[in-house]
Amino acid sequence: MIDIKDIKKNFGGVDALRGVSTKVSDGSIFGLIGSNGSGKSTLLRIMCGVFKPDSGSVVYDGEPVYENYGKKQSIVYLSDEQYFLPHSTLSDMRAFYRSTYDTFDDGLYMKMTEMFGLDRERKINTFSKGMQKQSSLLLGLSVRPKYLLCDETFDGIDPVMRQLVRRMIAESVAESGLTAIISTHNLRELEDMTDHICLLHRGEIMIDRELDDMKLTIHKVQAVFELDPTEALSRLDVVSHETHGRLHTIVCRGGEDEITETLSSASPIYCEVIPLTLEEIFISEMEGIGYDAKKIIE
Amino acid sequence: MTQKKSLSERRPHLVTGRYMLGKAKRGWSVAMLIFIVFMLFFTILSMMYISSLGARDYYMSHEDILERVLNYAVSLRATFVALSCLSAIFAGCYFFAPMHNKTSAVFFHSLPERRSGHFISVIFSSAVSYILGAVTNFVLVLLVFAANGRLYAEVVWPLLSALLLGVFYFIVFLSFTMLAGSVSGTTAIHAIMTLFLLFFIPAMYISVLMLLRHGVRYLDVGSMMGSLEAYNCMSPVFRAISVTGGPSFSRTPLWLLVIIDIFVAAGAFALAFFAYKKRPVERTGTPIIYAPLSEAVKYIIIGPSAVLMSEIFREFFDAREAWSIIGFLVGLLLSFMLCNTVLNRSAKAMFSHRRGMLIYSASACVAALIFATGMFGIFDYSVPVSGRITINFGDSASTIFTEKDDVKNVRQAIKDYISVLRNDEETPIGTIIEDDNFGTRMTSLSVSYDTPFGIPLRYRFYSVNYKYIEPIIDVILDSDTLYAEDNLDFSYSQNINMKLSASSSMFMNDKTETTVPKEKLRDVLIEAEVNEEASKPIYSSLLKELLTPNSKDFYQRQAIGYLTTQTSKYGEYNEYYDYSQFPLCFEDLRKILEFADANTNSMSYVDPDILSRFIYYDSLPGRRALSSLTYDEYIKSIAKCVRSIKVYNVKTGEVKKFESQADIEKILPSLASLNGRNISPLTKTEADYSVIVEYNIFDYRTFTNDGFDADKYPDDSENDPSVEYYVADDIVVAPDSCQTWFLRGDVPDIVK
Repeated sequence: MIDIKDIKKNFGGVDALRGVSTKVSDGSIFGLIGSNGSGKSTLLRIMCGVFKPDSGSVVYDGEPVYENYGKKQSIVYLSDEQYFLPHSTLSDMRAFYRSTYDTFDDGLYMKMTEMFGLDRERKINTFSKGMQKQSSLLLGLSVRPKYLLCDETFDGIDPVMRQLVRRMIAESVAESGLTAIISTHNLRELEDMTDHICLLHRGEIMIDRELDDMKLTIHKVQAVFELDPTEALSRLDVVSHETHGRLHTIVCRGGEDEITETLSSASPIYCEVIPLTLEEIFISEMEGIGYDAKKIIE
Repeated sequence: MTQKKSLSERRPHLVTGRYMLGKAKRGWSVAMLIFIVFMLFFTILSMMYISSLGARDYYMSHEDILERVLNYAVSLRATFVALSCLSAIFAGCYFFAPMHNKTSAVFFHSLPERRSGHFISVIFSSAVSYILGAVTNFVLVLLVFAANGRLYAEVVWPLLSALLLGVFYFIVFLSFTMLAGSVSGTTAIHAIMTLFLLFFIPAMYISVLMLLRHGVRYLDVGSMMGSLEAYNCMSPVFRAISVTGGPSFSRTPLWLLVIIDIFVAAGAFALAFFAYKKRPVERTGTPIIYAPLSEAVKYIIIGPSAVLMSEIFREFFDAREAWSIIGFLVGLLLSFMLCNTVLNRSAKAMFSHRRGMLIYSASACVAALIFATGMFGIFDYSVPVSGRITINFGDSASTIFTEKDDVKNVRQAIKDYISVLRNDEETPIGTIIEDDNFGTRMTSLSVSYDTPFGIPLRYRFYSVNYKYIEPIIDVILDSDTLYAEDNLDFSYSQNINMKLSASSSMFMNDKTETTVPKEKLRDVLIEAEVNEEASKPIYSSLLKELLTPNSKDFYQRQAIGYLTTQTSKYGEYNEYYDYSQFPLCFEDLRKILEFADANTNSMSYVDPDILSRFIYYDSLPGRRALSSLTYDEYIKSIAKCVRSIKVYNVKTGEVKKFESQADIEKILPSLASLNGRNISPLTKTEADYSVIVEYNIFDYRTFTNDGFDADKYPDDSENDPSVEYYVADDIVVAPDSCQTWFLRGDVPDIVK
């Protein structure tokens, strides 16, 4: 469990984080979303003990992380800008990680290099950007950390490899109870992956909820009505309403039963509750708190 | 798959060994580079030199070879220490570099390693590289010595000391490099900051001295600027030079310098560690991590830069004050713009922090003005209460005071004196003697002492009225230091009574008959003749013996003679008897002259700097004969050469002229000198009278700057006594009169 309490960080007069508090459950995948400059990287770097917060604390299982050698043994941070030792090969980096982390798993390393098809003896600086991302990720996962902090890790990886990476993270979560914190500015990267969503905007948390909770409180309905549905819609908390001919697409807050019952008063010929995309959920949530979500997330 | 147990509980230490070793291993290229540099400048050169000695076994003695090897071994120390210092800076910068790159800094700080681990690993890796590169070469040099059969027992310690000093100063310089690295954000700035830390205090010191040089003219800035002692207090670079150079380089004990550097290095490491622990990783990439420090560095740099520019302008524009002020302002502005650009990594920031700059400029100008003019007398009152004070009278005499009471008295006298100088418009500071000062006995004085911080300070007062320094003279004469000090330094006292010199000094009491055995005098001469060691100053027991019986009275007497003995390695020597003094101890002088006649060719020499009112007694008729006369006979002989004596009453302006032989004979014994110069600063004179002695000798001698040229005489038509002196074709002709003074309390009645 990671307990983040009231983190504040200022860079040269600019507030990067303004009192961020959240909790990350063990064995979960925590999605950290926000536009560029929202404070995601800063929060992750504070979470892995690189930056010291101006105030507040980050506690892993009751232990602060900053300058905590023991706790950092269980944390791997994958930065958005990968660093490899000068002129090193994957084998060199493996040796480095082995000497640094007590839990480095050679077997997993070998397995993943095979899966990714990376040449272990080739200098990493000759790899493509995507291959370097893969290298960074496979080295991080080979450590078998308890906490994996990924900053824009999926950027630059092709869709096939992206699926592979997602699968490997998911497997690690399932097998070894990995807790992954994945930051991105692209909602689609987290689709069908995260358990928890945290939206950062200008150094503050806008939304911090379990994805399942969010899905229970907002629904998308497609319906064709015999009667004018205006009166029925007025009784619902409508987030968005579009019509294509007689087909109404309505996103509104509330329980599924409550919504269908209210709409039934307008004598629907056809009415179906369909799943929302993560993006739609976010847009609706953001609009609910008075923000134009399209300006905040991609 | 094996998952090891977390070692967090088992590892409370500062750094993990694996991490440290890994970093050291990755620095093999640094070790290699250090190895190559040492190989080129240390090992190969040693190999060449030592092997070149091989052929000399046939024609050089073992002692000569040993001396050469020994000298070479000592010289290796400087090379080894210098290369070690450079290695420390290079290795420190190299291993610190990952912490100056944003990506790598984030990576390394995200690893399970404490900041102490990163810090110590840089030190460790640097040390390992140095050991592999430098110490290996040292071992190779030992092998070179041994293989050539030159590893004598005497050579081992000089070589070993080179190693010890090299390692020591590697650590000292590494501490500075670490401190610079901890506060700087890029590798380039790291290197610059290291040099800044090593040199900024000396740079500020020099810039202050440069300002003082033009304003506070009685402060001897030149000697302070060139004093290694001063720089020893400011930077390990100079301490390394002093310690490596050995005792001849520094007055400060070498062990003290080493201890200072131990503390300095420990302090630098501690400060560096503290700075690194607090170092915000997010500031990586900015030139200086700590913003306030950045501003401080900027303002420290622009001060000396402004002074330097001021000096450049002064040089280019004929030392005009206005141009130097413009140069100062230009220097301020340019360095400010440059610093802003570098420290902000943007030319757009060239004029940022203008308000700070304006405040700084105003403060710098005020400070510069204060320093340049010595306003508020800030340097006048820094004479220490206790410590060590040396007083020099021009190039004539000096003495060193160490007793607290003496120093206190001297200090008070100097302060009073400075106060008089400041308030008395008639006695300008730093002016040259001019004819307007006729009637005034002028002299020069300098006072040196070590400040509480060990920085030597020296006041030099040029051409000041002698009467103002009489209180200081009194203090000197009353002090036991003058008579008791073993290292009493009169090596330049050619003015005081008798001087026997073989680049050395000795004084004879005027009552020679009873206090100075002739044999002793002769012994000194003979010693000078046969042994070059006699050229060392003869201070100790002989000097004491000569000085003690008559104490102060000795200094009140006239000079009695002057003889210089020069020896050279080939046994040739020249001796010069200077008749310009008033000889009193005729008997001894005769002996000396006899000795000189028997052994040397006479040689005349004049000091080209002293031309005014100068008479050569070489031109006195029968000069050699004078030495065999009695005192009364001698006075009569001199009196015959004098046309008239004018006595000028300084207070009333009254002038009395004496032309009769009888009057002249009465006046001559009361004069402090017969040629105007060469009056001991310790000889008190009557300030109320000035005496002009006019000689009736028309045998003008000519001389050039190279010395006396006996073949060149001016035409008789030029022998006009009313003419001060002639200048033709680089030949200066001396006048035939001189100014002198009466001995204190010895004004003849006929004058009053």
